[in-house]
Amino acid sequence: MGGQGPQPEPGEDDTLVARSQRGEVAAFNLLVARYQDVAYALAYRMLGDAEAAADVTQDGFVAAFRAIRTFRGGPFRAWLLRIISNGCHDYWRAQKRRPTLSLDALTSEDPEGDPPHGPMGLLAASATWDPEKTALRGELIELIQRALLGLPAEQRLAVVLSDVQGFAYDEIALIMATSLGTVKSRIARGRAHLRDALQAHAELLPTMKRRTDDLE
Amino acid sequence: MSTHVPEHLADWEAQRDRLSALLDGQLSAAEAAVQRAHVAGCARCTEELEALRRVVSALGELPQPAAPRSFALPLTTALPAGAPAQLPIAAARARRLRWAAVTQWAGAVAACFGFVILSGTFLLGSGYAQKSMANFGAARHEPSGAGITSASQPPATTATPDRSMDATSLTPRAATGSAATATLTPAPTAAPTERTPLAAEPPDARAAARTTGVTLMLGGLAALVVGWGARRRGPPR
Repeated sequence: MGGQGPQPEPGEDDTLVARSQRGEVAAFNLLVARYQDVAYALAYRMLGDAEAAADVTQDGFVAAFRAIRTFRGGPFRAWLLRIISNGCHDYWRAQKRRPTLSLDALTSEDPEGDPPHGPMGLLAASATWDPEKTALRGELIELIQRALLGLPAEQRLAVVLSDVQGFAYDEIALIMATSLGTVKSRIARGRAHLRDALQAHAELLPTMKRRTDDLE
Repeated sequence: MSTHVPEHLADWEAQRDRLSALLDGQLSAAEAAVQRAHVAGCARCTEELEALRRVVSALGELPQPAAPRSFALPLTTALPAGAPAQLPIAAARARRLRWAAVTQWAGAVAACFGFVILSGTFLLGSGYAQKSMANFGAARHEPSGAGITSASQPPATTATPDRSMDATSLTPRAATGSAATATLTPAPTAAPTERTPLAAEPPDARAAARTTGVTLMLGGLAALVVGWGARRRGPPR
């Protein structure tokens, strides 16, 4: 998992939120600086498109600031990411198409073929991307992202938050405004769908490091 | 190892949820122990758990792109004046739901009114009212029910003839123009001893009231359905 690290000091967020509620843009911009990476990464993994992700992120921060006085405490990050994920939904609605491939199309398609989205350029520029890694890894990343885009939106959100971004179940439940049980089952179903989609490309999977410590 | 027949064969989806939760350490200690013991003796669950673990591991491989630029707001950005802005999505949804609720309730009220009016005209058209109307007709030496054909008939037939106009000193035009008023408040000079208030309703007004009742009821029901549908729809969130 990516791992989001520990929650930032809630006190700090609260202070900045309170100042933002008095109209201090500078204080709000400190929150922007703190959370823009995680917000953008979420939008990017949800949409599979760098430009759309940047638009949704920017609009999300504007909407968050304008609505900051309706924020009634709780973790600011979860509130913000809820706005961002709603923005992703709205983006799809506005596009009148979902940037998805059906799982069938994914599993039957030649992975060498022309990719419908072009995240590779973006990945090369991202902080965690190591260009020294083999092309195999790039191909795998491409494959997983496309499989993600084939998931129903709610499963995709749950899986991205959990397994890509490393959020705990309770924060995911806050972001998705639903119960822990629903989160649990969305994650499980999303993983099962992905398993089916990726199984057709099993030859790529053994190259990944196994996580054997989970059950210990 | 495990010899019991696992219930997961009956509900595989629930078992998959449990395995996924086991992978995330989301089961209670007792549940986790049961599942581990079961998985150790169940080929299908072993395979499923391994597959899920590979998926989780693969997802963890996805790099998290950093923000390509700063998303800081211009320092001139102002909070909306007055009441705090709701989130645009929440606000739009709230507005839609409010209007749907208003439509629904207005429709319900209108439909009730329509029903009351309609049943009123039916009551008037039968039994007690018929008798009264007969009295009315006899008192006035003319047959009742002449104007029952339609509401679009010239309203002159609804007004009581000459005498009422004489008595109230209305011009004929004004009297015919306010047919509804005339029907609700019949000229007091017209055969006061013979008439009951209910019987005073001329037949043509009954038809008009009936039309109004039907229109109100159908329109109200339509609004009710539209409002109800709009409230049921809407985004899943």
